Amino acid sequence: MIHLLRSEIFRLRKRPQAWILALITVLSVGAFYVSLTIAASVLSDPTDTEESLILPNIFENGMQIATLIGFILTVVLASGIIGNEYSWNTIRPLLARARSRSALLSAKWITVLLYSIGLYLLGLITTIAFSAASSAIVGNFESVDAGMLGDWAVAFGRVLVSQLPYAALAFSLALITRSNAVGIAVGIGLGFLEPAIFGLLGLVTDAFDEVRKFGLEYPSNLLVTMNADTGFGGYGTITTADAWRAVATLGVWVAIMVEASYYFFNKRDVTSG
Amino acid sequence: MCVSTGTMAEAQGVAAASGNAGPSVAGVGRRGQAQGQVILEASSLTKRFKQIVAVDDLNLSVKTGEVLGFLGPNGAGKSTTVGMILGLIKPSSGTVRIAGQDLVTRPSLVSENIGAIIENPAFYPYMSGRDNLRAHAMAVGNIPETRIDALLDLVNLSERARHKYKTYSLGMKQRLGIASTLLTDPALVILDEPTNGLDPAGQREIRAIIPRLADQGHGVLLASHMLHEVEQVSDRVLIVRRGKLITEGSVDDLLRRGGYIEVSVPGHDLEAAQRAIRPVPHVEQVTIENGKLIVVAPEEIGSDLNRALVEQGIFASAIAPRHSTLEDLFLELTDETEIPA
Repeated sequence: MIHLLRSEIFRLRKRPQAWILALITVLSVGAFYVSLTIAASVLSDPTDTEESLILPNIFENGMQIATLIGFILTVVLASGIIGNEYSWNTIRPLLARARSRSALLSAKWITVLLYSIGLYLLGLITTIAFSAASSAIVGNFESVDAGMLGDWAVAFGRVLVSQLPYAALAFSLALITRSNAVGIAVGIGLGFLEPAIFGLLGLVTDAFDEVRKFGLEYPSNLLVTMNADTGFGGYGTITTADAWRAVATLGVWVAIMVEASYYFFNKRDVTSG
Repeated sequence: MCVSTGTMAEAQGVAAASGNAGPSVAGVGRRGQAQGQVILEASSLTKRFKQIVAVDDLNLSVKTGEVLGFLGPNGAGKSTTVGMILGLIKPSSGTVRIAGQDLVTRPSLVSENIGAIIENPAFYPYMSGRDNLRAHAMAVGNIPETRIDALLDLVNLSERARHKYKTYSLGMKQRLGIASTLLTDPALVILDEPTNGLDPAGQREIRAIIPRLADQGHGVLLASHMLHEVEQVSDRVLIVRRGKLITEGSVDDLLRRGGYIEVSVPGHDLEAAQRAIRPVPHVEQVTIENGKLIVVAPEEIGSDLNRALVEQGIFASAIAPRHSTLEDLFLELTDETEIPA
């Protein structure tokens, strides 16, 4: 499988889309901090804005942008990693090169995982860089201690756990439907529409408020909300047990998606694509 | 393999790149495989798509060093058969054995033994031709860069190797596809319509490569609807229709089977001549067409026919053996209104 993984990463490295998505992440986070820096220089009372720029607050500010952008971009890329093999008709020669279908699919899953982690890591590094530079420009720079670094590590873990299921959803749907467009549309659409759908269903019966907790959006947002510490989203006080329940729920969803992808990929005839 | 019209001196470069001493395109010999060894054997291969039987109890085998032409009209089940051989489509029943081993128990047999172009060559549009070959080489492992260079030379793509695949003409894409099939020095090369869309020069170039591959010990399965192409480069031909094997044999045998003798007897009673010829041994059929006798019989009995006519006082002005083309035979056997190119 290591050969297949090398080939996947080589193709990803050569693919302009992968670099463009990374650039979008950097530009989005950069634009956010540049805007706040300009705002801090023109506002009569820039205290809150200047607070938003400092390093200890990156997960409430810049990383929220990086997480939102990362959610969209990893869905686009994850869907493309398998969906484009069908649209470019490259899946058949690729399968003929692979020692087994499972090995090829595993290489693709690992590639999605590595790229997603890399993209969020780039978002984090960009956020740190722009936060440090912006806060220094407005004269409000604050350094971080070892304890804060530990908090960042946990918060970054929450970002990955909360967002990677959407990339997994896009990948497995693109595989099952053999369509890049379906993977992207459902992956992104579900992220935005799920709360609205459950909101409407909740008007019918309160039972859906409980059901919502077993979807993707509720546990995902719960983890992101823990990072932001805003209390937004009606989660109230989030306990450690709530967080672990969210992680477990998302884990079950990912396991289902991974299992479904192997099932369909191994079972189906590849007559086109 | 006696057909060797190739002018591909570059082939020697590939041999050198792959550490081969001889003038080999891909040198199966260095694998220690003797020519004439069965590399692919499909037995009772059947594929049903719900009510449709796409391939019906098909048997075929390819030996190293031979080109097997796989002919059939559109929808005959050629691509489905190729798909089953490559493990892309699961047979409803039957077995595929590659290098003597069952494909079901060892799926890796395909990547280890077969290089294939399936219908049309498909590569990543955003990468160059060279990078596409590199990506394929990486997926397999242990293929040196020098082999990629040599294969690009072989298919005359060295100068365009750095250009993006999406800028390639169809002919260049086909040539890159052939280079890709040879990356692993496979014992069996499967070419599905390899000259599709090529100009005459490109077709000739590809046709020159095919027998050369067989000369070097590769088995070649050539699925094509280009009858003259199959006729030129194949040792054996297998014709299928609606998933069923119609006939199989060497090209010479098949053409002989479709041959006939044309007898001209101007000024004589054709029906009397027909009666005179009919009892001659080995005559299968005598018909009258356009004022001539068409005798379905081996061409060697021309003198016997003449003798039989003379004995009845009939003098032929011409007794000419006519060779059928593979196309005639194909149309006769498949009995399809659709006429392949």
